[in-house]
Amino acid sequence: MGSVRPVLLTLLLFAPMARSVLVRQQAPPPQAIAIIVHRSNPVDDLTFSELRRIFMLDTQTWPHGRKITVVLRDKGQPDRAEALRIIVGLSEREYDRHVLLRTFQGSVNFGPRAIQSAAGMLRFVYNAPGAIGHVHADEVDGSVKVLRIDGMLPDDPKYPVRRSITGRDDEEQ
Amino acid sequence: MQPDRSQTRYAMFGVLGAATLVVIMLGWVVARDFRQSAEATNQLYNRFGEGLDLIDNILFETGEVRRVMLYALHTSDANRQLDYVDQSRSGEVRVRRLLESQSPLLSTARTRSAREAVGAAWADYLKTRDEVIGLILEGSLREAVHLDEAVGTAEFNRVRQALATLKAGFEADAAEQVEAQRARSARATTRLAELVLSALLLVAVGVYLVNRRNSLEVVLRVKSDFLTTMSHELRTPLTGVIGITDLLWTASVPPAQRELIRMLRTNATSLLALVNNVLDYSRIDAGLMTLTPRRFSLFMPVEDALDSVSEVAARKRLSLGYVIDPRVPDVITDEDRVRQVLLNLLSNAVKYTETGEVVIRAWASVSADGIATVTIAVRDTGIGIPEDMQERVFQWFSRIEPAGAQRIRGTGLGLAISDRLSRLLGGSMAVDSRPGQGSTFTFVFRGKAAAATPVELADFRGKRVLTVLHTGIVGEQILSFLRTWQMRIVPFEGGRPPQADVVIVDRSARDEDHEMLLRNRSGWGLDGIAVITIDDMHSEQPVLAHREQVVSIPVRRQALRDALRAALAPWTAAEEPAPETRQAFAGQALAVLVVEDNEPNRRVIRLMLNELGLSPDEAANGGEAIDAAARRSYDVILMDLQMPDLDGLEATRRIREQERSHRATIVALTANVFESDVARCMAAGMDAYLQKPLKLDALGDALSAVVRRA
Repeated sequence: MGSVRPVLLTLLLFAPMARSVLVRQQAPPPQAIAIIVHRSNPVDDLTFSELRRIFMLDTQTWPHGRKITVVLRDKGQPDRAEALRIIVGLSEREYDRHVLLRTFQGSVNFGPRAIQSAAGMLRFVYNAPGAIGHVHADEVDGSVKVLRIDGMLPDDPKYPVRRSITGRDDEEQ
Repeated sequence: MQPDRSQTRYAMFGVLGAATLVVIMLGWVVARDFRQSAEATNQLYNRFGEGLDLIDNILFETGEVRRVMLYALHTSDANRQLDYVDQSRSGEVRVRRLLESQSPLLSTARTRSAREAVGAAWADYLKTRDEVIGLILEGSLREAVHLDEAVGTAEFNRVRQALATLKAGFEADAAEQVEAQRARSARATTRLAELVLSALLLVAVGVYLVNRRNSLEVVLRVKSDFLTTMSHELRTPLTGVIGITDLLWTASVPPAQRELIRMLRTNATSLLALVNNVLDYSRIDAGLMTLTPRRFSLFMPVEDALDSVSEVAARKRLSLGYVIDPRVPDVITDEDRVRQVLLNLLSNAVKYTETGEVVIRAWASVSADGIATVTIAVRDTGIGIPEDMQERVFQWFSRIEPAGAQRIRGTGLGLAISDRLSRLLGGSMAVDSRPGQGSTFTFVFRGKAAAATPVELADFRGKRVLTVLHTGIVGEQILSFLRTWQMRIVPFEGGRPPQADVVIVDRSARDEDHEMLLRNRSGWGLDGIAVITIDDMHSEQPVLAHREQVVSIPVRRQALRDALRAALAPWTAAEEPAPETRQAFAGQALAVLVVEDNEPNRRVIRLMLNELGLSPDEAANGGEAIDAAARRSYDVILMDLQMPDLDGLEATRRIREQERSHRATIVALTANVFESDVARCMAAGMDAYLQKPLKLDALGDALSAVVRRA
């Protein structure tokens, strides 16, 4: 028994270090961004390309004829920039300029709605039948419908609307 | 009468008490109803208020739901629009809760359907509202406004209309229930008012009855006082009248005037009897009649009563007699009341009988506990009483005058008093009568039995008595005495009689027997035999022989016994008659003081004392009596009780206070014969009392008692 005690003490001393090694080895996949619509919306599935066209305001009505209302987070919020970068590949400023241009062109009457919080995003989509918005996948509740993108839901590892692995978005200055 | 009135009064207050109890119980019930009714009314109004509040709240909240939603039209900020949407949805939740709330007043048939209509209209409106919200949030403000105005407003108005209908139904329901409750409350109030009125009525009746009772008691007291006072006032002059007639009777007056005196005395005595009857009536009526039990032999009251009516009976030539079963014991009860009842019955019997006889028969039974039930039947051969009138004879002031009978004076009190007295004596009174044949009044009383006074038989046992008697009641009575005394009875049968020790002749017997006996007296060897003649009271026929004893009808037992004893005693020529009452106290140094404020009465008493051989001093009031007693030591003071200024009681007290060694015998003279009066006399220091009107014999007896004590 006397030879076992020093070994146990050594293991206790190195235990925290071992834990950090283990955590780093089991890191989760990049966080998915869920695309949500009103529960009455008949659309269940979009291709990533269709999603991008909707957010770029190129597609403005749903197949059943209801006008599409794009909802983003308020300007300056990281979730807004992240969503724009992942979905339309534009920085926030580029996207605003795009919307302004489309507005002056008269091709859109009403730009995307800006919401302060994730909860507000969910409430908005719940109340607006033609709305489409985004929240982090773990913020979704039963009040809205989550769309499949390219046939995949956010819990699918190959789900395309997902943050980068580094967890750091390139912000356009 | 008193027990009846008391019972009536107790019954009356009993009923009043029971009624009060019933009112209290009813009051408790009604008060409970009233309280419950009031509580129900309060609850109803509370529910009514809650119901109205509920409807108004629904109305307000539905308005808020729409109004807040429309605020969202006036901003482009999606976050603020969301806040308004949230407020609208919160309002929607509140409306749903209000609509689902359980209110009894909103669950009637009428309100239930109205609520359903509200719910349906509200659900329709909410759908439109959701659409409008969607359009607002999506930025389609024009479409939103258009949808709200085109559809939302109409649907919202439908909700308002349904709510108005609900409210109207609710108010109608509430009004009906309030009206029903008001009717219940009104009934309870009416019942309460009726009860209060009943209670007030009962109190009024109670107060009236108490006042009435007090008034009646005052009236009764006044009546009693009045009768007591009147009795004194009536008895005082009667004292004078009867006293004077007594004196006149003993004086030497011509026969014609003696008859007038006799009539005067008879009338005065009748008046006194009437006064006594009225007094008795008032005492019985007021429940003040009490009994003074003492031991007596039935012979005494029977003979006394017969004596009292003997004069009238003799005038009518009625046979008057009695037979008492020798087994009747002495009885302990109120002898005076028994005598009074007998006198009443006998007076009536003699009054209503013109020919024939009036007979008393008495017998008794003794129970195991020593209580004797004595029955006395007074039978007459008078006019009788019709059957339909017999029930009324014992009622107060009831006078029976059979058809054909001449009007006979009377107050209608005698039999009623006798009936009440018989009940007071533990017995009863009954009548059996046939018109034209006579009546029998049966008087029953009870008392503790005592052994009969033994009769001394040694003088008479075995002695032979030759009897010449009538077959009527007088002969029956004499024969019953002789048998009781164990004498040998030898009836006279017309021929030479056997040897006898004494002869008893009834003058009313057949004349031929009487004459035969007179004619053959010497030849039959009856010269030396004493004769006892039974005769009417006032017979003026000559005596049969020098050794004749006369016993008058009605025959008293003692008189016959005395006559027999004298007849059987050895005869001596020097035999002196018994000393008379007259001048009985002559030569005795008996100092007497008469205290009497009424001058004629004082004079009568003085004359009576003169008759007894005494010369009294006189005092006209209490003060003079005290002075006289201070100056001289009197042996006897005859003291009137009611005198002005200083009455007899107070005068007696002061005389007793100033007495040293010598103590006078103070005799009260009073017309008040209530037991309480006698007790007051004794308490004041008096020794005896004499009842007014004063009689010579009673006065002589009282003075004799004083002499004997001395």
